[in-house]
Amino acid sequence: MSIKLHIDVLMAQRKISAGELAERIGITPANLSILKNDKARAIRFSTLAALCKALECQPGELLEFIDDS
Amino acid sequence: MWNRDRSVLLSSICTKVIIVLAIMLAIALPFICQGDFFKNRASIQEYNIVWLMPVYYAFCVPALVALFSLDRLLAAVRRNEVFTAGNVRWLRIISWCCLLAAAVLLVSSLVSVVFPVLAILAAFFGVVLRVVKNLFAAAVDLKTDNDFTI
Repeated sequence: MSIKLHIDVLMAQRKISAGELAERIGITPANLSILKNDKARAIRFSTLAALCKALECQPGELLEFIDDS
Repeated sequence: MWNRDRSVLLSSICTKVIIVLAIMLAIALPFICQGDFFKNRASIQEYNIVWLMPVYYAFCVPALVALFSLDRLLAAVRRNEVFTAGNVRWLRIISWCCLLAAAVLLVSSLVSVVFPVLAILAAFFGVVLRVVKNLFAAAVDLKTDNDFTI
């Protein structure tokens, strides 16, 4: 079971670069890369809220549950 | 002013000094047993300490491996890399070396009554270090969780 983040898709749709998004949500580009590459173990509500605000979307559009089993 | 860096440096120096002393003693032990270092050679030969040699050499191997691992562990601490998988591995090696040394000392109980006490001490250190290793492994997991929480 895993959670996938669709940051890449939303970034492409909103035409926002990684650097710009990182600056808008107040995290480092390295941490944004961890999120984009599904390496993150958890995401804070504050980060999720900042992502939703920057990408003008709902959490449901960002997160997808994948049943690996 | 005494601080953490100096304390770690002192520990590192002590470890290196003990490594050198252990190696020097390993080299000098045959000569000591023959009484070559003593003016009154006959008197040291009376004690018949030749049996110390196999015990010391068997004990020396795990002890030196443990000391080397301790030195690597301290080097990592000096680099501020404390809760890492590498350090857990060094602690595991040190713990097993202590238990191995305890086994060597237990076998050596056949030649002297002092060794069972030392064997219990070495086994105790081994078990304590094993618990510390388990704590470190849990801390590494927590740190990874924390590092990858964005």
